[in-house]
Amino acid sequence: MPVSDINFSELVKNMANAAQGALKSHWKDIKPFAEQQLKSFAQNIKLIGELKLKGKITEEKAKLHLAIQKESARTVLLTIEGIGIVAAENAINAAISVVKTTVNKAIGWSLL
Amino acid sequence: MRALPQVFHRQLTLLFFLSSLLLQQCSTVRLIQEYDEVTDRKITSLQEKTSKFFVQMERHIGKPEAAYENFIPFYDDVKTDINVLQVRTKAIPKSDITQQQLTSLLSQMGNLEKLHRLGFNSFEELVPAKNAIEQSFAAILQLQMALKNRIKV
Repeated sequence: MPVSDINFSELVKNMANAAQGALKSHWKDIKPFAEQQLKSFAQNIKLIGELKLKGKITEEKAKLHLAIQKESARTVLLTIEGIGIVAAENAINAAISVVKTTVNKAIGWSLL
Repeated sequence: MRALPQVFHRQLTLLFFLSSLLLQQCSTVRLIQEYDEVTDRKITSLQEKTSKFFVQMERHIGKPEAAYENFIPFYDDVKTDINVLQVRTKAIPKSDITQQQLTSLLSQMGNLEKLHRLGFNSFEELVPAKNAIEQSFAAILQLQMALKNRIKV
């Protein structure tokens, strides 16, 4: 198949499908992790409140506990951000891979 | 008249070839750091040390063995490990997220040390910190796994 015969609208559609597939599979991976982490934060903060109310920890300790929770939440959100970037990168690379396959097939040898 | 299209054809072929070469050179897009096995291993080792600390605290809390003074080497060790990792990741391009996570982890360890210095009366009061720090390690390792399993073109 000569390069001029490449169906560009089909190529764009295939690239979009490849990108969408990569993004979908990543969200499927990250969703349970994000949900579980958010649930756990809520439980931890509730527990700190209970410990303070029962007089088991001082205000100073409660503040230190809350600072740990805040930093931990930051770490989790950074992971979600990082995985989002990896997903975007995967989507771009999956689309490039489609171009690569199409061009190589069109010219009959491995150029890309 | 026939020569002109031939020149164009040659130029187009050359342009296509050069564009393909360019695309080949930069065909894999990288928006975030490369996976670093050493970082991954060091974080796992740090997580093991921290996990051992919580097991020891659970066993000894309320006894003299759980005193802060006995755990100063642990805090020194963990902070040193995080500092070593911070220096290493600074040398890796596009590693801002991992660097921020390590800064956050260092802050959590610092606050855990402050809590320990004030003294723990029961393991119950250590549980929220244990959960949060374990979540942080899980999050950092989850990102490392995503970096490892990314698509390579």
